[in-house]
Amino acid sequence: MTLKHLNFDELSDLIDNELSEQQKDYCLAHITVCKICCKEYESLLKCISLLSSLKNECIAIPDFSERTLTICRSREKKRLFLKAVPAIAASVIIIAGAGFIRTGFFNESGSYVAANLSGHNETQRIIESVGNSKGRILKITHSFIDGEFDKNSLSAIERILHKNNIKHAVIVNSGMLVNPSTGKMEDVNFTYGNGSVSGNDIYKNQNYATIENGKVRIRIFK
Amino acid sequence: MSLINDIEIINRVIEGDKEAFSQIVKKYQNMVFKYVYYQFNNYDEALDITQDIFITVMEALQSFRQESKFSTWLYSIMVNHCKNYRKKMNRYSTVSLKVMRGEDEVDLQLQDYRENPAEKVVNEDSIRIIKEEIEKLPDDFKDILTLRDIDGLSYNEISEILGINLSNVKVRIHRGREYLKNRLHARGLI
Repeated sequence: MTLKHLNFDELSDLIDNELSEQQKDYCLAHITVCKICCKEYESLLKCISLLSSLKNECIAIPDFSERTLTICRSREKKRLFLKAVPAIAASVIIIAGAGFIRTGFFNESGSYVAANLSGHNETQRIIESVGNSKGRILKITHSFIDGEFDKNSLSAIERILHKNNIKHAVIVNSGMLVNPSTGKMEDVNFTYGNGSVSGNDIYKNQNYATIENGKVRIRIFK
Repeated sequence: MSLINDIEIINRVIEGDKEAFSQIVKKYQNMVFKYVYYQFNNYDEALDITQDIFITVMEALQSFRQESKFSTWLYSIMVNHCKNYRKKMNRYSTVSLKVMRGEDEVDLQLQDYRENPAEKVVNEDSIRIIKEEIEKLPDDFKDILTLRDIDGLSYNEISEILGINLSNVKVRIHRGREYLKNRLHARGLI
Protein backbone atom coordinates (compact mmCIF):
# COMPACT_ATOMS: atom_id res chain seq x y z
CA MET A 1 0.00 0.00 0.00
CA THR A 2 1.42 3.36 -1.05
CA LEU A 3 1.88 6.02 1.59
CA LYS A 4 0.96 8.85 -0.73
CA HIS A 5 -1.95 10.63 0.94
CA LEU A 6 -5.29 11.04 -0.80
CA ASN A 7 -6.04 14.51 -2.02
CA PHE A 8 -9.24 16.37 -1.18
CA ASP A 9 -10.80 15.79 -4.60
CA GLU A 10 -10.43 12.04 -4.24
CA LEU A 11 -12.06 12.11 -0.82
CA SER A 12 -14.92 14.23 -2.11
CA ASP A 13 -15.41 11.96 -5.14
CA LEU A 14 -15.30 8.93 -2.89
CA ILE A 15 -18.21 10.29 -0.83
CA ASP A 16 -20.17 11.14 -3.97
CA ASN A 17 -19.39 7.75 -5.51
CA GLU A 18 -17.77 9.44 -8.48
CA LEU A 19 -14.71 7.17 -8.61
CA SER A 20 -14.19 4.05 -10.69
CA GLU A 21 -14.36 0.73 -8.83
CA GLN A 22 -10.59 0.44 -8.92
CA GLN A 23 -9.99 3.94 -7.57
CA LYS A 24 -12.66 3.42 -4.95
CA ASP A 25 -11.07 0.21 -3.69
CA TYR A 26 -7.71 1.91 -3.58
CA CYS A 27 -9.01 4.92 -1.60
CA LEU A 28 -10.94 2.79 0.89
CA ALA A 29 -7.92 0.56 1.44
CA HIS A 30 -5.76 3.63 1.99
CA ILE A 31 -8.16 5.17 4.49
CA THR A 32 -8.15 2.01 6.60
CA VAL A 33 -4.39 2.22 7.05
CA CYS A 34 -3.73 5.98 6.94
CA LYS A 35 -4.90 7.86 10.02
CA ILE A 36 -4.36 11.29 8.46
CA CYS A 37 -6.50 10.51 5.42
CA CYS A 38 -9.06 8.75 7.60
CA LYS A 39 -9.39 11.86 9.76
CA GLU A 40 -9.74 14.05 6.68
CA TYR A 41 -12.36 11.71 5.29
CA GLU A 42 -14.38 11.77 8.51
CA SER A 43 -14.18 15.57 8.74
CA LEU A 44 -15.47 15.90 5.24
CA LEU A 45 -18.24 13.38 5.90
CA LYS A 46 -19.31 15.38 8.95
CA CYS A 47 -19.23 18.62 7.01
CA ILE A 48 -21.47 17.13 4.32
CA SER A 49 -23.81 15.51 6.84
CA LEU A 50 -24.19 18.87 8.62
CA LEU A 51 -25.17 20.44 5.33
CA SER A 52 -27.56 17.58 4.56
CA SER A 53 -29.19 17.94 7.98
CA LEU A 54 -30.50 21.33 6.85
CA LYS A 55 -32.71 19.50 4.39
CA ASN A 56 -34.72 18.12 7.28
CA GLU A 57 -34.78 21.36 9.18
CA CYS A 58 -38.35 22.24 10.00
CA ILE A 59 -39.15 25.79 8.98
CA ALA A 60 -42.69 27.05 9.21
CA ILE A 61 -43.70 28.76 6.02
CA PRO A 62 -47.07 30.05 4.84
CA ASP A 63 -48.90 28.53 1.87
CA PHE A 64 -47.76 30.44 -1.19
CA SER A 65 -50.33 28.96 -3.58
CA GLU A 66 -53.32 31.23 -2.95
CA ARG A 67 -51.25 34.42 -2.93
CA THR A 68 -49.36 33.39 -6.07
CA LEU A 69 -52.62 32.84 -7.94
CA THR A 70 -54.08 36.14 -6.72
CA ILE A 71 -51.00 38.12 -7.77
CA CYS A 72 -50.81 36.36 -11.13
CA ARG A 73 -54.49 37.05 -11.83
CA SER A 74 -54.18 40.76 -11.08
CA ARG A 75 -51.01 41.03 -13.16
CA GLU A 76 -52.76 39.26 -16.04
CA LYS A 77 -55.65 41.73 -15.86
CA LYS A 78 -53.24 44.64 -15.87
CA ARG A 79 -51.40 43.16 -18.84
CA LEU A 80 -54.63 42.66 -20.79
CA PHE A 81 -55.65 46.24 -20.10
CA LEU A 82 -52.29 47.56 -21.28
CA LYS A 83 -52.58 45.41 -24.41
CA ALA A 84 -56.04 46.89 -25.09
CA VAL A 85 -54.90 50.51 -24.77
CA PRO A 86 -53.73 50.87 -28.42
CA ALA A 87 -56.99 49.32 -29.66
CA ILE A 88 -59.03 51.71 -27.50
CA ALA A 89 -56.98 54.67 -28.74
CA ALA A 90 -57.44 53.55 -32.36
CA SER A 91 -61.22 53.22 -31.84
CA VAL A 92 -61.41 56.73 -30.39
CA ILE A 93 -59.46 58.13 -33.34
CA ILE A 94 -61.69 56.29 -35.85
CA ILE A 95 -64.91 57.43 -34.15
CA ALA A 96 -63.66 61.01 -33.90
CA GLY A 97 -62.53 60.91 -37.55
CA ALA A 98 -65.92 59.58 -38.68
CA GLY A 99 -67.58 62.34 -36.69
CA PHE A 100 -65.49 65.02 -38.36
CA ILE A 101 -66.25 63.64 -41.80
CA ARG A 102 -70.00 63.52 -41.11
CA THR A 103 -70.01 67.08 -39.83
CA GLY A 104 -68.20 68.30 -42.93
CA PHE A 105 -64.90 68.99 -41.28
CA PHE A 106 -63.38 66.98 -44.12
CA ASN A 107 -64.85 66.87 -47.63
CA GLU A 108 -65.27 63.67 -49.62
CA SER A 109 -61.85 63.85 -51.22
CA GLY A 110 -60.29 64.16 -47.81
CA SER A 111 -59.11 67.73 -48.13
CA TYR A 112 -59.70 70.06 -45.30
CA VAL A 113 -62.47 72.62 -45.65
CA ALA A 114 -62.59 75.42 -43.21
CA ALA A 115 -65.92 74.83 -41.54
CA ASN A 116 -65.65 77.71 -39.22
CA LEU A 117 -64.69 80.73 -41.21
CA SER A 118 -65.72 83.38 -38.76
CA GLY A 119 -63.11 86.02 -38.09
CA HIS A 120 -62.22 86.38 -41.77
CA ASN A 121 -63.66 88.94 -44.07
CA GLU A 122 -66.08 87.60 -46.64
CA THR A 123 -63.73 87.62 -49.64
CA GLN A 124 -61.05 85.86 -47.65
CA ARG A 125 -63.54 83.28 -46.45
CA ILE A 126 -64.70 82.53 -49.99
CA ILE A 127 -61.15 82.35 -51.37
CA GLU A 128 -60.10 80.08 -48.56
CA SER A 129 -63.10 77.81 -49.07
CA VAL A 130 -62.34 77.53 -52.77
CA GLY A 131 -58.64 76.87 -52.17
CA ASN A 132 -59.22 74.34 -49.45
CA SER A 133 -61.70 72.46 -51.59
CA LYS A 134 -59.01 72.00 -54.26
CA GLY A 135 -60.87 74.44 -56.45
CA ARG A 136 -59.42 77.24 -58.48
CA ILE A 137 -60.54 80.83 -58.71
CA LEU A 138 -61.40 82.00 -62.19
CA LYS A 139 -62.52 85.53 -61.61
CA ILE A 140 -62.90 88.00 -58.77
CA THR A 141 -65.07 91.11 -59.02
CA HIS A 142 -66.45 93.51 -56.45
CA SER A 143 -69.71 91.51 -56.30
CA PHE A 144 -68.83 87.87 -56.95
CA ILE A 145 -66.11 85.26 -57.31
CA ASP A 146 -66.19 82.50 -59.90
CA GLY A 147 -64.62 79.24 -58.87
CA GLU A 148 -64.09 75.85 -60.54
CA PHE A 149 -64.28 72.60 -58.58
CA ASP A 150 -64.33 68.85 -58.99
CA LYS A 151 -67.89 67.61 -59.37
CA ASN A 152 -67.11 65.22 -56.52
CA SER A 153 -66.54 68.06 -54.11
CA LEU A 154 -69.63 70.02 -55.20
CA SER A 155 -71.83 68.82 -52.36
CA ALA A 156 -69.12 69.56 -49.80
CA ILE A 157 -68.44 73.10 -51.00
CA GLU A 158 -72.19 73.78 -51.23
CA ARG A 159 -72.63 72.56 -47.69
CA ILE A 160 -69.90 74.93 -46.51
CA LEU A 161 -71.38 77.85 -48.43
CA HIS A 162 -74.84 77.14 -47.04
CA LYS A 163 -73.47 76.87 -43.58
CA ASN A 164 -71.78 80.26 -43.89
CA ASN A 165 -74.86 81.80 -45.55
CA ILE A 166 -72.90 82.68 -48.66
CA LYS A 167 -75.07 83.09 -51.73
CA HIS A 168 -73.93 81.14 -54.74
CA ALA A 169 -75.15 79.59 -57.98
CA VAL A 170 -73.92 76.74 -60.15
CA ILE A 171 -73.08 77.80 -63.69
CA VAL A 172 -74.48 75.45 -66.28
CA ASN A 173 -72.46 74.49 -69.35
CA SER A 174 -74.23 77.04 -71.56
CA GLY A 175 -72.83 79.82 -69.38
CA MET A 176 -76.16 80.60 -67.68
CA LEU A 177 -77.02 80.74 -63.99
CA VAL A 178 -79.91 81.67 -61.77
CA ASN A 179 -79.02 84.75 -59.75
CA PRO A 180 -80.11 83.93 -56.21
CA SER A 181 -80.73 87.63 -55.38
CA THR A 182 -82.98 88.40 -58.31
CA GLY A 183 -84.17 84.88 -59.14
CA LYS A 184 -83.57 85.67 -62.81
CA MET A 185 -81.58 83.73 -65.37
CA GLU A 186 -78.30 85.53 -66.26
CA ASP A 187 -75.78 85.06 -68.99
CA VAL A 188 -72.32 84.68 -67.58
CA ASN A 189 -69.78 86.54 -69.62
CA PHE A 190 -66.64 84.46 -69.52
CA THR A 191 -64.00 87.02 -70.40
CA TYR A 192 -60.77 88.04 -68.74
CA GLY A 193 -61.16 91.46 -67.24
CA ASN A 194 -61.55 94.27 -69.81
CA GLY A 195 -58.36 93.83 -71.85
CA SER A 196 -58.19 93.08 -75.56
CA VAL A 197 -58.11 89.50 -76.68
CA SER A 198 -55.01 88.30 -78.49
CA GLY A 199 -54.58 85.06 -80.44
CA ASN A 200 -53.38 83.24 -77.40
CA ASP A 201 -56.11 84.82 -75.32
CA ILE A 202 -58.76 83.55 -77.71
CA TYR A 203 -57.57 80.05 -77.05
CA LYS A 204 -57.53 80.73 -73.31
CA ASN A 205 -60.94 82.34 -73.49
CA GLN A 206 -62.47 79.41 -75.33
CA ASN A 207 -60.84 77.04 -72.91
CA TYR A 208 -62.19 79.07 -70.05
CA ALA A 209 -65.69 79.21 -71.47
CA THR A 210 -65.87 75.47 -71.95
CA ILE A 211 -66.38 73.62 -68.70
CA GLU A 212 -64.22 70.51 -68.61
CA ASN A 213 -65.68 67.10 -67.90
CA GLY A 214 -65.78 66.34 -64.19
CA LYS A 215 -65.60 70.03 -63.29
CA VAL A 216 -68.24 72.40 -62.13
CA ARG A 217 -68.23 76.15 -61.81
CA ILE A 218 -69.87 78.12 -59.09
CA ARG A 219 -70.42 81.85 -58.83
CA ILE A 220 -70.13 82.91 -55.25
CA PHE A 221 -71.73 86.23 -54.42
CA LYS A 222 -70.24 88.54 -51.85
CA MET B 1 -44.78 9.24 -11.62
CA SER B 2 -43.88 12.64 -10.21
CA LEU B 3 -42.72 13.81 -13.65
CA ILE B 4 -45.97 12.70 -15.31
CA ASN B 5 -48.02 14.41 -12.63
CA ASP B 6 -46.10 17.66 -12.95
CA ILE B 7 -46.51 17.70 -16.71
CA GLU B 8 -50.20 16.88 -16.48
CA ILE B 9 -50.70 19.75 -14.07
CA ILE B 10 -48.66 22.13 -16.20
CA ASN B 11 -50.69 21.24 -19.29
CA ARG B 12 -53.85 21.94 -17.37
CA VAL B 13 -52.50 25.33 -16.29
CA ILE B 14 -51.47 26.19 -19.84
CA GLU B 15 -54.94 25.20 -21.07
CA GLY B 16 -56.44 27.73 -18.69
CA ASP B 17 -56.99 25.91 -15.40
CA LYS B 18 -54.90 28.38 -13.41
CA GLU B 19 -56.10 26.94 -10.10
CA ALA B 20 -54.15 23.76 -10.86
CA PHE B 21 -50.94 25.71 -10.36
CA SER B 22 -51.58 25.69 -6.62
CA GLN B 23 -50.69 21.97 -6.64
CA ILE B 24 -47.28 22.80 -8.09
CA VAL B 25 -46.74 25.53 -5.52
CA LYS B 26 -47.70 23.25 -2.64
CA LYS B 27 -45.41 20.52 -3.90
CA TYR B 28 -42.30 22.66 -4.35
CA GLN B 29 -42.69 25.55 -1.91
CA ASN B 30 -40.65 23.91 0.84
CA MET B 31 -37.82 23.08 -1.50
CA VAL B 32 -37.74 26.57 -3.02
CA PHE B 33 -38.06 28.33 0.30
CA LYS B 34 -35.24 26.36 1.90
CA TYR B 35 -32.90 27.00 -1.00
CA VAL B 36 -33.63 30.73 -0.82
CA TYR B 37 -33.44 30.76 2.96
CA TYR B 38 -29.96 29.21 3.01
CA GLN B 39 -28.83 31.61 0.33
CA PHE B 40 -29.81 34.71 2.26
CA ASN B 41 -30.25 33.46 5.82
CA ASN B 42 -33.18 35.83 6.28
CA TYR B 43 -36.68 34.50 6.83
CA ASP B 44 -38.66 37.50 5.58
CA GLU B 45 -36.46 38.01 2.55
CA ALA B 46 -36.78 34.32 1.73
CA LEU B 47 -40.58 34.53 1.90
CA ASP B 48 -40.67 37.43 -0.57
CA ILE B 49 -38.20 35.86 -2.94
CA THR B 50 -40.00 32.51 -2.88
CA GLN B 51 -43.24 34.29 -3.73
CA ASP B 52 -41.57 36.07 -6.63
CA ILE B 53 -40.09 32.82 -7.91
CA PHE B 54 -43.50 31.14 -8.09
CA ILE B 55 -44.97 34.15 -9.87
CA THR B 56 -42.11 34.06 -12.37
CA VAL B 57 -42.60 30.31 -12.86
CA MET B 58 -46.33 30.65 -13.46
CA GLU B 59 -45.88 33.47 -15.94
CA ALA B 60 -43.11 31.62 -17.76
CA LEU B 61 -44.90 28.27 -17.82
CA GLN B 62 -45.70 28.62 -21.53
CA SER B 63 -41.98 28.64 -22.26
CA PHE B 64 -41.34 25.33 -20.47
CA ARG B 65 -40.54 23.03 -23.39
CA GLN B 66 -40.77 19.83 -21.35
CA GLU B 67 -37.35 18.70 -22.53
CA SER B 68 -36.12 18.38 -18.96
CA LYS B 69 -37.79 17.55 -15.67
CA PHE B 70 -40.03 20.32 -14.42
CA SER B 71 -38.11 20.39 -11.15
CA THR B 72 -34.86 21.04 -13.03
CA TRP B 73 -36.47 23.90 -14.92
CA LEU B 74 -37.88 25.27 -11.67
CA TYR B 75 -34.45 25.00 -10.05
CA SER B 76 -32.81 26.97 -12.85
CA ILE B 77 -35.39 29.75 -12.51
CA MET B 78 -34.86 29.70 -8.75
CA VAL B 79 -31.05 29.85 -8.99
CA ASN B 80 -31.14 32.67 -11.55
CA HIS B 81 -33.69 34.60 -9.52
CA CYS B 82 -31.47 34.38 -6.43
CA LYS B 83 -28.42 35.46 -8.45
CA ASN B 84 -30.27 38.46 -9.84
CA TYR B 85 -31.60 39.35 -6.41
CA ARG B 86 -28.10 39.16 -4.95
CA LYS B 87 -26.78 41.42 -7.72
CA LYS B 88 -29.62 43.88 -7.13
CA MET B 89 -28.99 43.95 -3.40
CA ASN B 90 -25.26 44.49 -3.95
CA ARG B 91 -26.11 47.67 -5.77
CA TYR B 92 -27.66 49.14 -2.64
CA SER B 93 -25.49 50.14 0.24
CA THR B 94 -26.38 48.62 3.59
CA VAL B 95 -26.52 50.30 6.98
CA SER B 96 -24.48 48.62 9.66
CA LEU B 97 -26.47 47.71 12.75
CA LYS B 98 -23.50 48.35 15.03
CA VAL B 99 -23.24 50.71 17.96
CA MET B 100 -20.25 52.00 19.87
CA ARG B 101 -20.04 50.79 23.47
CA GLY B 102 -17.05 52.50 25.01
CA GLU B 103 -14.30 51.91 22.52
CA ASP B 104 -15.80 48.68 21.22
CA GLU B 105 -18.16 48.33 18.30
CA VAL B 106 -20.89 45.83 19.09
CA ASP B 107 -23.89 44.49 17.20
CA LEU B 108 -27.11 46.32 17.81
CA GLN B 109 -29.46 43.81 19.43
CA LEU B 110 -32.86 43.92 17.80
CA GLN B 111 -35.68 41.99 19.38
CA ASP B 112 -37.16 39.44 16.97
CA TYR B 113 -40.70 38.71 18.11
CA ARG B 114 -41.24 36.05 15.45
CA GLU B 115 -41.01 32.42 16.40
CA ASN B 116 -37.55 31.23 15.46
CA PRO B 117 -37.98 28.16 13.27
CA ALA B 118 -34.49 26.94 14.07
CA GLU B 119 -35.51 26.32 17.67
CA LYS B 120 -37.18 23.17 16.50
CA VAL B 121 -33.92 21.65 15.42
CA VAL B 122 -32.10 19.44 17.92
CA ASN B 123 -28.58 20.65 17.45
CA GLU B 124 -29.13 24.36 17.52
CA ASP B 125 -25.53 25.45 17.73
CA SER B 126 -24.32 23.33 14.84
CA ILE B 127 -27.19 24.51 12.68
CA ARG B 128 -26.58 28.13 13.55
CA ILE B 129 -22.88 27.87 12.77
CA ILE B 130 -23.38 26.01 9.51
CA LYS B 131 -25.98 28.56 8.40
CA GLU B 132 -23.63 31.41 9.20
CA GLU B 133 -20.86 29.75 7.29
CA ILE B 134 -23.05 29.00 4.28
CA GLU B 135 -24.02 32.65 4.19
CA LYS B 136 -20.37 33.67 4.15
CA LEU B 137 -19.49 31.33 1.28
CA PRO B 138 -18.64 32.87 -2.08
CA ASP B 139 -21.77 32.83 -4.27
CA ASP B 140 -20.56 30.10 -6.63
CA PHE B 141 -19.84 27.74 -3.74
CA LYS B 142 -23.08 28.67 -1.98
CA ASP B 143 -25.16 27.77 -5.07
CA ILE B 144 -23.47 24.51 -5.73
CA LEU B 145 -23.28 23.21 -2.16
CA THR B 146 -26.95 24.03 -1.56
CA LEU B 147 -27.94 22.15 -4.69
CA ARG B 148 -25.63 19.20 -4.06
CA ASP B 149 -25.42 18.70 -0.30
CA ILE B 150 -28.70 20.18 0.93
CA ASP B 151 -31.06 19.44 -1.94
CA GLY B 152 -29.19 16.29 -2.97
CA LEU B 153 -29.25 16.91 -6.72
CA SER B 154 -27.08 14.85 -9.07
CA TYR B 155 -24.06 16.29 -10.87
CA ASN B 156 -25.99 16.14 -14.15
CA GLU B 157 -28.94 18.07 -12.77
CA ILE B 158 -26.64 20.70 -11.29
CA SER B 159 -24.84 21.00 -14.60
CA GLU B 160 -28.17 21.59 -16.36
CA ILE B 161 -29.44 24.05 -13.77
CA LEU B 162 -26.29 26.14 -13.55
CA GLY B 163 -25.47 25.82 -17.24
CA ILE B 164 -21.90 24.65 -16.64
CA ASN B 165 -20.20 21.42 -17.72
CA LEU B 166 -19.75 18.39 -15.48
CA SER B 167 -16.06 18.88 -14.83
CA ASN B 168 -16.77 22.45 -13.67
CA VAL B 169 -19.50 21.13 -11.40
CA LYS B 170 -17.02 18.69 -9.85
CA VAL B 171 -14.32 21.30 -9.42
CA ARG B 172 -16.72 23.75 -7.78
CA ILE B 173 -18.04 21.08 -5.44
CA HIS B 174 -14.48 20.11 -4.42
CA ARG B 175 -13.41 23.70 -3.84
CA GLY B 176 -16.63 24.63 -2.04
CA ARG B 177 -16.49 21.67 0.29
CA GLU B 178 -12.82 22.28 1.04
CA TYR B 179 -13.53 25.93 1.80
CA LEU B 180 -16.49 25.10 4.05
CA LYS B 181 -14.68 22.26 5.83
CA ASN B 182 -11.82 24.60 6.70
CA ARG B 183 -14.27 27.22 7.96
CA LEU B 184 -16.15 24.71 10.12
CA HIS B 185 -12.84 23.37 11.40
CA ALA B 186 -11.82 26.89 12.38
CA ARG B 187 -15.14 27.29 14.24
CA GLY B 188 -14.45 24.03 16.11
CA LEU B 189 -17.43 22.25 14.64
CA ILE B 190 -15.49 19.44 12.99
